[in-house]
Amino acid sequence: MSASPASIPAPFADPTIAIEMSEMNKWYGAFHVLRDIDLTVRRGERLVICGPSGSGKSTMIRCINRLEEHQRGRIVVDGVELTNDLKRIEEIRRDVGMVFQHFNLFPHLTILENLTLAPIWVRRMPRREAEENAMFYLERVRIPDQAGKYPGQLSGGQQQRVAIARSLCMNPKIMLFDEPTSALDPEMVKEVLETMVSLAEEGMTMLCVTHEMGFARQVADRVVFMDHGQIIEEAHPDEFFKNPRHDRTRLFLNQILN
Amino acid sequence: MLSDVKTRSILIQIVLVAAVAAFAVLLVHTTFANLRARGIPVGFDFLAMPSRIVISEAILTYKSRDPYYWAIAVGLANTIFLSTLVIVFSSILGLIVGIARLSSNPLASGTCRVWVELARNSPPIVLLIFLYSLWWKVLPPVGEALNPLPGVYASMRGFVVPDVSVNLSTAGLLTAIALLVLGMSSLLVLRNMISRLALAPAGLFLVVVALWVADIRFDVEWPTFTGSNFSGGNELTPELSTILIGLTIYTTGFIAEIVRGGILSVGRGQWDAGHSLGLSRGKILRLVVIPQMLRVILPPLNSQYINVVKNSTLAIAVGYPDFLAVMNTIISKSSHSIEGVFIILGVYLLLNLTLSSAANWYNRRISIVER
Ligand SMILES: Nc1ncnc2c1ncn2[C@@H]1O[C@H](COP(=O)(O)OP(=O)(O)OP(=O)(O)O)[C@@H](O)[C@H]1O
Ligand SMILES: [Mg+2]
Repeated sequence: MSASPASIPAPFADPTIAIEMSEMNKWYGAFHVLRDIDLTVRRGERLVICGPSGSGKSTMIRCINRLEEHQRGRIVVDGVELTNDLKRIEEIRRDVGMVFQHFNLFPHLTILENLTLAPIWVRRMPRREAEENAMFYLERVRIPDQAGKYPGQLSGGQQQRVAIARSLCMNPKIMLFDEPTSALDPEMVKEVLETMVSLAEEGMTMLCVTHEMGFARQVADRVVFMDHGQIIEEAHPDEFFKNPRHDRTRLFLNQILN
Repeated sequence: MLSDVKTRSILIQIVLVAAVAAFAVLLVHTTFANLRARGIPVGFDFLAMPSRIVISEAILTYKSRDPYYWAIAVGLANTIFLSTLVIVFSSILGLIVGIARLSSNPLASGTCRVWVELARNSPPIVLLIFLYSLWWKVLPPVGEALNPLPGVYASMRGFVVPDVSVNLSTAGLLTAIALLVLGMSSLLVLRNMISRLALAPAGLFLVVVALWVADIRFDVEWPTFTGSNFSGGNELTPELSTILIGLTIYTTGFIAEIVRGGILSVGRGQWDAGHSLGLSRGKILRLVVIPQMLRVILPPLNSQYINVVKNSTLAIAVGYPDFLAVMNTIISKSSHSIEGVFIILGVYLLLNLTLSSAANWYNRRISIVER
């Protein structure tokens, strides 16, 4: 993509940085959800974010594509700072894909229509091209035969793979995952994780909130542990699982590994 | 055989229907026999006789020497005309008000809230009488008619609006239809190859060319003000305007609430998904939320439409000759009250069943496929 007017002037933007959050704070009313978050994600990096329930993991990654607004500090995504400028926000959202815990497919549209909606209406792609593109990604997630069905007719695992394909159809530079497997039956977790692993192998920049520690070991470059709205610890998975530095991390790992 | 559940239930239903039908026939027969015994004429023969009643305004042409059945048709046409306009206007306004009610702009949401509360909490007849009394209190006499929009005048005598008539020849029309069908079907074939952006202008271009070929002219007749009267244009009487505006305001309040509930029934996850794909608020509303909302709001919306048809009988309060008002006149003039009541019940039942079945058909067509 060429530099848009909304981008930070070239000398200041480090092209190897995908996301930069500095002293980012967020409140829900009087409740301080995120406290002084400092996090830099390089292009191609795979981050796994974990932490106890209510620690602010979802809120943090939802700030990255401004599904939530932060009140203090800075968030720069792909060289563009997030402000109230709606145009910039939509520009960033086009390039940042997101996969949700409950899939959030559009139930009134077929699988194919779910995948072509944004390319047609946001990227202004001709329908035929959008459909070819969609079929390409449906094949990647190995369900091209479901194209004509409605989301309600698919299994949970299939729906989540459709949701991943729907994001990929916009050709995003960054992918955010918010507990993509935690609403799935155990036998369907694997098929979704496999899709995510193959995406990671292609060099996609990924931020993934998950408690699938096997996945973290296999693909993560870094594991980030959050508690009470703060980043407590971040480390390479080998280090993170073998030698957690903080008591809270140790406690958390004990709880989920047993 | 009687132990078979299906057969038994069918049998029971047949017996029930037969019993109800027999009771109805007995009732009608006895009533008519009693009336005849007292020398009161019964039967529907009177319908063909000249009515000699006055209908103050009608969208069909009517003269007082027309037979009763035509007077009934004229009243029915007025009711359908009025109800259709109210349904169309209040659906459009209800959608806008319902969406604006959820707006983050406090002025917009506040105004809409006041509208909704006023409409929902006042008896419609009070609203109508209030509006009707305004005509003479607020609006000036004809000589000083207000001119709020070009070609639109408002005075004590009602509204005057431009009259639009369509002027076309059969040959031109046929050519244009052929052209449109040809063009649209080729667009339909091509729609996968061209961008959606080009599709709308291409369609518009086709329509314009077709209009030009068909030599269809919309003749707009602007009302002119001659100092004491208007010539040309369409006059809307205060009676029609009041019932139209009053019922529209009233129904909009209910429809806006239904729309608001419908929008809220579509989960936040759908907005999140739309936003995360880069869709704007307006596009999410149009492409994701409204299509899902329609399924939810259709049944309550339909009962509002049925209410409109029923509430149109309030026209009698301001003196607009709707179907019920005309039937009232007919009954008192002809003294065929039983027959009149049958006609009234039958017609409203038919109107509302038509509305319901249209809604059911549409509901089936758009229902979401579930596993
Ligand atoms: N819209 C909201 N209004 C008020 N408080 C909220 C809102 N959304 C989340 N919270 C609170 O913010 C905190 C962080 O929520 P968040 O969903 O980010 O946690 P999480 O780490 O994703 O937890 P989980 O693992 O359960 O998903 C929680 O205490 C939650 O109750
Ligand atoms: Mg969460």
